[in-house]
Amino acid sequence: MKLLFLGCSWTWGDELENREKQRYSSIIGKRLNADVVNLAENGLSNHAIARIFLDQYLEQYDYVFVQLTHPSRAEFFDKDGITADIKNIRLKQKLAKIYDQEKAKLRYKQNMFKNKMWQRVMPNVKRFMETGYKLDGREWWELYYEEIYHDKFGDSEELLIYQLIRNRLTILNKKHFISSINPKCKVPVDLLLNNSKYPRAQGNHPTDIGHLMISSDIMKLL
Amino acid sequence: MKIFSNGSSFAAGSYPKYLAELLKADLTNISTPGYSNRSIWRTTIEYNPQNYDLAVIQLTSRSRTEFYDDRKQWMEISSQLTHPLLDDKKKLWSFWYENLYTDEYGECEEKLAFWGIRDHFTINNIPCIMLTTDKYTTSRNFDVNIFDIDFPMDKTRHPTDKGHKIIAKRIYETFISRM
Repeated sequence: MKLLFLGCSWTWGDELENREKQRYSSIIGKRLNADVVNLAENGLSNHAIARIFLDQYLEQYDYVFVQLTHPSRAEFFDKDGITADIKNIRLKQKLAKIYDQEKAKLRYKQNMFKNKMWQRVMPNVKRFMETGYKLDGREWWELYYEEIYHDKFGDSEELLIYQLIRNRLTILNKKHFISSINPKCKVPVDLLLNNSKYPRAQGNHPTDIGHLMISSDIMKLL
Repeated sequence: MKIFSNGSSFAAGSYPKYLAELLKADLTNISTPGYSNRSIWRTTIEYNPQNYDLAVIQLTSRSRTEFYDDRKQWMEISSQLTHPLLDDKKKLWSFWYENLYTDEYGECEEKLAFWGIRDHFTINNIPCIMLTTDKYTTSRNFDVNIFDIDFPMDKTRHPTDKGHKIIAKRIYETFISRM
């Protein structure tokens, strides 16, 4: 049996001492005696979760667990992102050239190199707001959240992505479970994880006990 | 027979009407000039078409997008930034297209919209023909790229009346070949 887990830091297991062992995906995998593939990452948006979802060969999985996140998060493809920290200009140019040459080959397959070029944007976390793209001295994304982003946009994205994931998995006849950490979630997910009964760590992520409780609640609903 | 159509300016023209005539069908067409792939996806899901015998959806240029404005509701954005009500947002969107927007982003948006729409019709047992007017798309999923069809265009680079009839005939043939 093989399980796929997608989501953000909650599913990734942020703030856990032994993430690989204590996160709820591992506990469920152990209880079901199944292999687990966990592709969750810190700071992923619903857009990113849907993008990664569509990149997967879903046929290989017996059960797919998707955790949706806060709808205000965003992402963009930053071609310069992968070389942003490289100071050597010649090396930087060389890598950019390799990327351009490899672009056509990268296009139709999932690739970690390419995946790293998607930059995550989270309005409430400073490090995810420092992308280096500045307009009149201010981060463009700050201006985006002030001037352009509207909750109605986030809500519509949540609905579109929820339906995309639910419909795709139904058509493929895959057992699936959709949860969300958005306390104002407007779509009928199977479980709302942002529930005060799950104990939290300092950064607001579930503790090891929280993950144990989440896994129990999910197991009851399978 | 009932046909549902959505898309941007091409589909807001008369090919859906000519297709409905060829199939002797009733037509619901919610297409709007300027729509982005996201708008076409969103409005299709919001309309939630049920009990149709065929859906014909025309996706558009990948670079277009939309945002919600309290005063102006949903606003369509294209890289030409021609929307008359953009006002002070024009500078922000100009920066987006010059510095942040990439083909990869557009391809991702197109892919999400494509599967979001196609699967909606599959779930509802409605045959769906997916078209695009993005001549540079790298996606191999579309049933018809309208720019692969030889048809006359007017000065605004849209099909003439004869062009719409040619496009309708091609969609008709695609539909018939699937039956």
